[in-house]
Amino acid sequence: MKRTLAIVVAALAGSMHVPADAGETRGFAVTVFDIAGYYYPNGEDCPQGFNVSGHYNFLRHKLLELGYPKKEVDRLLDPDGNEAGDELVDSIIQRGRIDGARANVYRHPQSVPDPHTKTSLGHYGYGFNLDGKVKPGDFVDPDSGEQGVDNNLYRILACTPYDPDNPRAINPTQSREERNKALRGVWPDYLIEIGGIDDYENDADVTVGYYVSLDFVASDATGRIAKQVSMRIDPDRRWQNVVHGSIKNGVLTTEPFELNLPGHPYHAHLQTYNFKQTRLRVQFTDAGGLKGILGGYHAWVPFYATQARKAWVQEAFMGVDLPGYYYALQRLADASPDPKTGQNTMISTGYFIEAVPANLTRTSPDRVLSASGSKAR
Amino acid sequence: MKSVIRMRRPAWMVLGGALLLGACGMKDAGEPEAGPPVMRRLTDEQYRRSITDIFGADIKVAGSPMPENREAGLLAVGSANASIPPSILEQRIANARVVAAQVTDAAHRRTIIGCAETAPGVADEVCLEQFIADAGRFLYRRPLDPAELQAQLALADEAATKLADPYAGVEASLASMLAAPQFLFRWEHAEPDPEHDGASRLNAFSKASRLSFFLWDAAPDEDLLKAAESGELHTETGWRHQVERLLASPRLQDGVRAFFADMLKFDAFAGFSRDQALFPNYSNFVATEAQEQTLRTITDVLLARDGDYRDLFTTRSTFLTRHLGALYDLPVTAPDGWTRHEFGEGDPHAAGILLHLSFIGLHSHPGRSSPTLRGEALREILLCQKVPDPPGDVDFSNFEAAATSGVNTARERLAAHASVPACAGCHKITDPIGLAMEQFDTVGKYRARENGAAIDAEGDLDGVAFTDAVGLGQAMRDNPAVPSCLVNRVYSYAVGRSLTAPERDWLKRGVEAKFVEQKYRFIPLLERIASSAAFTNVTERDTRSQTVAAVNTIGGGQQ
Repeated sequence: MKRTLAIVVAALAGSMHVPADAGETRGFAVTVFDIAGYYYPNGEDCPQGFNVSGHYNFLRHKLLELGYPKKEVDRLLDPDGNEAGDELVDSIIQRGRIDGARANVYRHPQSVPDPHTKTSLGHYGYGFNLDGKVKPGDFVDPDSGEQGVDNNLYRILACTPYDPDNPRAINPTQSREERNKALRGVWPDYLIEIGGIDDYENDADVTVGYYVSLDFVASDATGRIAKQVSMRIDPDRRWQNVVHGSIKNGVLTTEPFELNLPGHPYHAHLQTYNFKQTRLRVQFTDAGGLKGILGGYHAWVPFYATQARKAWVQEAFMGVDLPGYYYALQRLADASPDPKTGQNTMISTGYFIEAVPANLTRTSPDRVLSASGSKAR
Repeated sequence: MKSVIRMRRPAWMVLGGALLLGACGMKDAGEPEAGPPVMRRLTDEQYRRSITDIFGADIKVAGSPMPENREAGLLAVGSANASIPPSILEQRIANARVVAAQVTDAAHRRTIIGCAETAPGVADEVCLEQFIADAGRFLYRRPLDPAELQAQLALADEAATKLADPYAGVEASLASMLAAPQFLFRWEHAEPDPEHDGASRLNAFSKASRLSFFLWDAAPDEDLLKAAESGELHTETGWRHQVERLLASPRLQDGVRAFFADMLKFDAFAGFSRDQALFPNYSNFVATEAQEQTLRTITDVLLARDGDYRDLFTTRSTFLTRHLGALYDLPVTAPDGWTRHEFGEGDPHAAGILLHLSFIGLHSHPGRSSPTLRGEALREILLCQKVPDPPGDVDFSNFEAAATSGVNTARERLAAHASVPACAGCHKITDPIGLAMEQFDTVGKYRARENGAAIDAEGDLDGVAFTDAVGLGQAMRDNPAVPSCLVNRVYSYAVGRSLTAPERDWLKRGVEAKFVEQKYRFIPLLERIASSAAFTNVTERDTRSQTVAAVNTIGGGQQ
């Protein structure tokens, strides 16, 4: 009998204690944790057009925008000229102005005017209605049909294509397969544990744990992330994310929770994740895994800071205008206003979640799931 | 300086517990007449271990897996009728040169050969000649006879002169001996037995080799060679001392592993594969671990615990790695390496090695399980019962029809065979066994259903009924053919040939009965066999006259 389980995280966590032997417990190793984007195939979600992008395209555009003559731009972008290379980098990085003096634009993104990066204005977008409101411009989730979906992080980069000649092409080095391959054998994984399941259709008392593994991601003989591998749960207190839930008509509803995780080098844009009002909606796949969406609010400044650490690569080779990214984050941040400035400090997010079945083990004798320490705003 | 060739003495924990010091003199009343001496090809493992034991682990040895010949259920018996294929011989000769070059190179000659210079830049040729003699003694597993030694020294002298390097001479001699049949084959020689008029026995060095390869799967060490040279091995006390010494050594584990790897047909893993689309967690690496899982389980029960052999079919304990855990879908807490895993009371996995990938998977199809193959393997490997081959004109149409007509389980598919008289006769002795293991798929993972239908794991073994694999394991434990088969296999393995009728009779009355009396413990069984006259007495036929594979020895050489 095919079991279908949809988990919707709904409210704040309280402490609770679930005996390890109450009901069934299922473990999973996360294989996908990507920003959830709904990309219209013909770019209809970018009615204002796409942002200038691509290898050196952005640099040429920016230099011309800064007033460099075309001949000078050609010289600066000559790949054989070493002097031009240093000059080029300097010209781009130091294009900011503070009191008339040159400034590092990555460190001081507001030292240049807002370039008004074009963002997604599509009707569909994955995620959750985090604020409980249906506002103009909110998305509709194409899978659940939920109205008022808040996922502004996805909007910002949706109209900046990797390949300007093929706006919807995926950067092959950033594909899921390549990112997963890079993690195997060298990086821990995220783990999901669902415990206390007595009935997959209706169960008033289940627990969902979201953890980090001590063991590296393992491959199977086909090169994919292996199923049913034993993964030890990292006992680090920072990553014990446990929340109570219930299942109704195959839908699991938990209390919303704060999700804290270390970042992945590829899956994540941050060194650590600190989601607020986290929600998770997944269902079991035929292969016994999980597939769905995770959403929540996250501070936006760390997203910029993470990109700024490799800003030159992002601008020169990916064509992402970093100050534009900063301004867009600031503009589209939609929660948790600073009490002094009123500026929203958090931005809504949505992530694709997929996971394969795994045998989760613990390094201590305590095998009890507990929801202590999980709170959401 | 005397050469410092040494035999490996690993610093392992010596097996605890007192060994059985049974009264085991020479020929007991009722022991059968002797069988012929045999000449057996070194296995790839024995070849590599011999070189490593003599020259040290630092010497790199390239293995050359050979086509194996299985007779009477054992490769150890088939090797007595196997030569070395020309392609493998070429590899052996090439490898001989590589090994010899390593032993005599500047990095190793000081520690392995150990001959100091008589003067700056002047090698001690007397010492080097002694090294050749010493190396030959270990390689041939007996001292070189005068003609052999003379030929090797002449070869070394010629090479040293032509290449103006005495170590080149040593290298040439070593390469010659490493490619010689005296090294590549275990050559047993008979001699008249002075204590029994008209009878023959293995000579002392052949005794040493037979004992050492039986218990350690390795060539005789220095102590054993000395015992052979001194005549001790022809005395009851001397022989018993060596038997006890080898049984008490940690190296016994190598011998036990080699025996069971042979008996359980692990050589079949060479051509083993699984459908990757269905079993992505399977790989050649996992196959190696699967064999190790079974061998660790066996040595744990039989050696570490000195336990009952029959417990191998009921034990709830095994050893797993993270990869095997993923294959079986079992949790493994250790991130790396091996960890003991205990199944709980009532766990369906509690049928010992029967449910390891090395058995249940090795005897399945790449994409699905096979009760017939599993039942056949259990009969032939563990009960020593021959299952007839299928007739050449077998009609599979009924089976294929059943397989595609919407039936869900193997039991339903195999029911088609019951309707065909030519098939039913064999399938009724295999399928009731194999169907009990159907709750485990082709890689050994537990399943309650096949294609959505509940699996019925009822079966029977020689009239003993059971409802699942655990019950099958218990039925195996209680089946008298199990210990009988083991005893016969161990003896055949030890002497390297099929059993004669008198030997079967003696094994049944004299060895198996003792095995049962001693609670089916394996070490006493080994001791019983090694201490018997049947193990060392042979007929007059000498293997010198046997045809051996032609060997192109390097520069001269001898036969």
